[in-house]
Amino acid sequence: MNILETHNLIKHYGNDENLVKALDGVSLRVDRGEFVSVVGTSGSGKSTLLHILGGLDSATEGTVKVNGEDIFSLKKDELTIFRRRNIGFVFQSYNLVPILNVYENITLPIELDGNKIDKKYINKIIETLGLETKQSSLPNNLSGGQQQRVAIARALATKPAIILADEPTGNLDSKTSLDVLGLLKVTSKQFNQTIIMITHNEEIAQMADRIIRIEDGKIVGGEKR
Amino acid sequence: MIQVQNRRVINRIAFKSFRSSKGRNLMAIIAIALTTVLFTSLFTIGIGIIESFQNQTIRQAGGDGHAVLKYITDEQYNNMKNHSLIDEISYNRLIASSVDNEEFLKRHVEMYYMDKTARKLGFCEPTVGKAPLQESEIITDTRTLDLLGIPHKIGAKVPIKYTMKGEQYNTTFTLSGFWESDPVFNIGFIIVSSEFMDKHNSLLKNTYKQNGDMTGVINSYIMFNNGFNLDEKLKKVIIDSGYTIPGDKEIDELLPTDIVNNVNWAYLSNGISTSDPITIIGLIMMVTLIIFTGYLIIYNIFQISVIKDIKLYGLLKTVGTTSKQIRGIILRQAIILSTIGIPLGLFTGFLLGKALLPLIMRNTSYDLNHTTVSLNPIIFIGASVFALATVIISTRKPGKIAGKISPIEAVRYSGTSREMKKLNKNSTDGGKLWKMAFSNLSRNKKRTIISVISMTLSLVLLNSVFTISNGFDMNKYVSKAVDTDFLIGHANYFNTNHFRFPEDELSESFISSVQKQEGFQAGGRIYYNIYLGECSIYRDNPNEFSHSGYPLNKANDGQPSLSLYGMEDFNLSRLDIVEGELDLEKLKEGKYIIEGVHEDDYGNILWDSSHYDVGDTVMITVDGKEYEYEVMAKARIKVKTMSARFYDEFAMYLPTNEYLNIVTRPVVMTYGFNVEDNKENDMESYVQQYTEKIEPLMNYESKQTYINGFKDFHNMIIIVGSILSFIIGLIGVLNFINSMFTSIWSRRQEFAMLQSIGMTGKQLNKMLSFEGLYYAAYTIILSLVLGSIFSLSVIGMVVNKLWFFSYEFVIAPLLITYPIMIVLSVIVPYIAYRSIGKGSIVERLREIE
Repeated sequence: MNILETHNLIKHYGNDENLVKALDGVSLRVDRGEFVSVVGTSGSGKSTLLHILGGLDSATEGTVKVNGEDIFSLKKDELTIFRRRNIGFVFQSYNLVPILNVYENITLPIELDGNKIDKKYINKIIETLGLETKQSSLPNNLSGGQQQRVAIARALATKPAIILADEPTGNLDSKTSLDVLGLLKVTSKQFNQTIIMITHNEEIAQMADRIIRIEDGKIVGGEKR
Repeated sequence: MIQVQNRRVINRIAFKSFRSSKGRNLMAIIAIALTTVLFTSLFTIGIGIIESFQNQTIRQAGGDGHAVLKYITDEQYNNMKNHSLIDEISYNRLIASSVDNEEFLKRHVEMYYMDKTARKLGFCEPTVGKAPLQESEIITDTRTLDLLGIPHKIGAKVPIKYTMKGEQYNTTFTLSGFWESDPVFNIGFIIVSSEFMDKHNSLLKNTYKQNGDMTGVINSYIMFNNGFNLDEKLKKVIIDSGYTIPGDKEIDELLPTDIVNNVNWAYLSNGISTSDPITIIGLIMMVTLIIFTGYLIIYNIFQISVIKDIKLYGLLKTVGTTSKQIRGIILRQAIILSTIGIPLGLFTGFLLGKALLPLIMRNTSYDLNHTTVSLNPIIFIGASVFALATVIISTRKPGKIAGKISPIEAVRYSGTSREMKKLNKNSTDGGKLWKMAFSNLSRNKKRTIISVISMTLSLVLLNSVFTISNGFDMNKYVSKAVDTDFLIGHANYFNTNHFRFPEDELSESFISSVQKQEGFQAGGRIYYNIYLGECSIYRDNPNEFSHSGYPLNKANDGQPSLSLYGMEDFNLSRLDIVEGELDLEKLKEGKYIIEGVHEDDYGNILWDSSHYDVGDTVMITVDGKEYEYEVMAKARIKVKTMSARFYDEFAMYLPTNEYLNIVTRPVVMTYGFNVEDNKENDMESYVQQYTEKIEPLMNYESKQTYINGFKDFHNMIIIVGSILSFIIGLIGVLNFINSMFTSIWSRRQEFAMLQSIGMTGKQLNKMLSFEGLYYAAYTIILSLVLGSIFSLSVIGMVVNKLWFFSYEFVIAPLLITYPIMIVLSVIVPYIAYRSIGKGSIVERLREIE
């Protein structure tokens, strides 16, 4: 079953001579539980793709269906709500809320949704990511790797349909990168999560089930293997 | 140290980075302008009061001039006139020792020759016609002409009777010009030509030191370059010219070289130095308050802007800019902003101060028609200096921060994370919007605290203003007022000059005019012995002290002086007898007297001020003759109605018949009278126009003037206080707006992130509104606490000491302001968010990477 499906996605910035074709007809299908990495040089359009997939940006043309829902048909606040229920984000710069401790950062999306927190599930995530002793720490008391683990935990907290990771290891050294990636993979398997990860690091990309190459806004390789 | 030519590059950087922060600049300019407005209005009002006071004193003194040299000769004048300290010096030569026309009995007239400077300083420039040239020509003032019954016409014949060296002359002069008399000044001048002076030179020899004759003496008024150290300058002029200072010598002890002199008292009170400590403390408190208010906002603005630009400063450091140069960049920006903000503030502040001045002056005893404030440079220099000082003080700390930052730190420095010193936090529900909002407030505690204090300040001030104005008790105030419906007298009785000379007598024409008015019921005169030296009371120990512990005023015979009042029945029957019994018929037999006893501000009788028992015998001396009376009763001295309004330990009341028997020169001091209730307004307007048009030297007080005076005072406190609160409040709100905008601006990436993980715009707005509400809550709590403390302590204990004050705890102004503040605290974050929420999430997210 396709958890994510795009059809002929086009994204243009600017106009006339300054026209930048960030995405030029991207069609993509991702199955549930799949771990996909998207690679490409900088400026290839991979970040734009991720942002559009997550509903942070709009496409010029084409459709994105997440869990069968056409996300462009939603209103702004509806989209936000859809996003917090179905999409988990992991950013390169972690993006934790500095005033909240680890536990609160992880459960923030659930709080925002006004739902009851599934403590057992959260504790399991925390345990898997090795954050048990850090639950009451504030972000400024964490190392980069720890912060990214918190970000991953936060992305998993709402049991989203897919996790979109934008260079999640970009700010980490190579050993920590592999650790974090390993954890991301393990947890996603454990909780049967779908992951789409952007990276320019081949070694990291190799950890995925599938690698999609994107150049000049077009998929140039990495159809289902 | 190596001197490098880097000034230009620093200037360029300062200017470029200045241009790039338009929002901050606008805020800073407004803040600096508002601070300057406060300083300028304070200075304008202060200088205005001093100038109006000076102006009035100068007019009362009948002439300008920093100082005067008296009774000098031509030779002495010529020796001193060229002294380098002197800017201007006048030549006023007294032509006659007295002017003897009967018409001038009540209003003294003096005959002078005056040079141009003298006429200018003495306000004797003819407004019609021109200065006298011929021997037969004179100029004079309109009131003098009126008294003589001569029309205001050039060429009119003016017969003058005058005495030169003891011999009386009758001369008919020709009027060559005249000027309008100033009602405040009660002496007339007749000015002759230099031709006249020269022709009578033989009679004008100065013999003052030999026989006290004033004919021919010269009085020279001096203007120095400025009004500082007048006493020293004056002495220097005299001594440098080879003369001596007479000190306290009597006329017959004067040496030939002695120059009698004095500094114009109008100029002595030109500084704070002579003011009372309360004014000084009040002034210092005002200045401190303004500096503090200004500091709070300007500091906050620059602090925030430095944090915003910190990466630039870090970068500058990497390329070799020193801390000093970075501090210079910030200072320069502050000064550029001041050059726009301060002039704006000066202009507005001056207008505001000028508008408020009459309001404030109305509550002093000064002449309202002549409140003036010039474009005195002190106002603008003073206000600018204080405003600039505030700016410099406020930008010092931010400058230091920018200067100290290391290039590496700068990249990471955000101002907020630095404040997050906490490492752990034990809670699991911090993600609730209201809790997040609360935590956000403590991210930059300093900024939060400054904004809260800034807003609290104006609220506490506002509450205090209303507490004070609410506490002014009209009943208490009016109880001290005239206890008859009207009280009429000479203007000097009512003003600060006091009733001191026979010329200050109440005119019979005024009394008879009011008696003829419809609705007049009854009234009575009070007579007073003008020459206190001629009236004494015999005491076994004449050197005893007054009940308040001061030495007593002495009469010429060495005994304590006595204020002796003669009263008509109307007043006698209104005396408040506090001991003994008043029997009017018995009193009029001429053997009895009533002792006056003093009261304090609260109306309590000060029994220590009573020196006799009822039945005791009092021995008094009036005009050299001794009299004995028995004390029949004691009466309260009602200062405003039954006294000459200045303090004398001994005061006695006699019935008119006896008073007129023993006092050789009785003077009518006041006349109090009652009017039918429905005619009070008519009478009020009658006496008002009478004292303005017909006898401008007379004045009056009525219950209504007291009530009006009270209301004016009350209004002034409210208006001035509210304007001050409003401006300080405006600064507070600006500070809040600035803090909120910056706080939201600096978190725009965080907001983008929050939105990407699922926070809706609505939730974000809600969180920000919560933040605003917490600001409001803090401000409400702090202002309630501080407002109450201030009200109970300073106002309740200090201001409450004012006799007409009834303290009452007031909190309503705060409660009324709170809803406005709450609304504001929700709206501001909303608008601030709208201003940054425009870019798409992706755009804002990108800024992070």
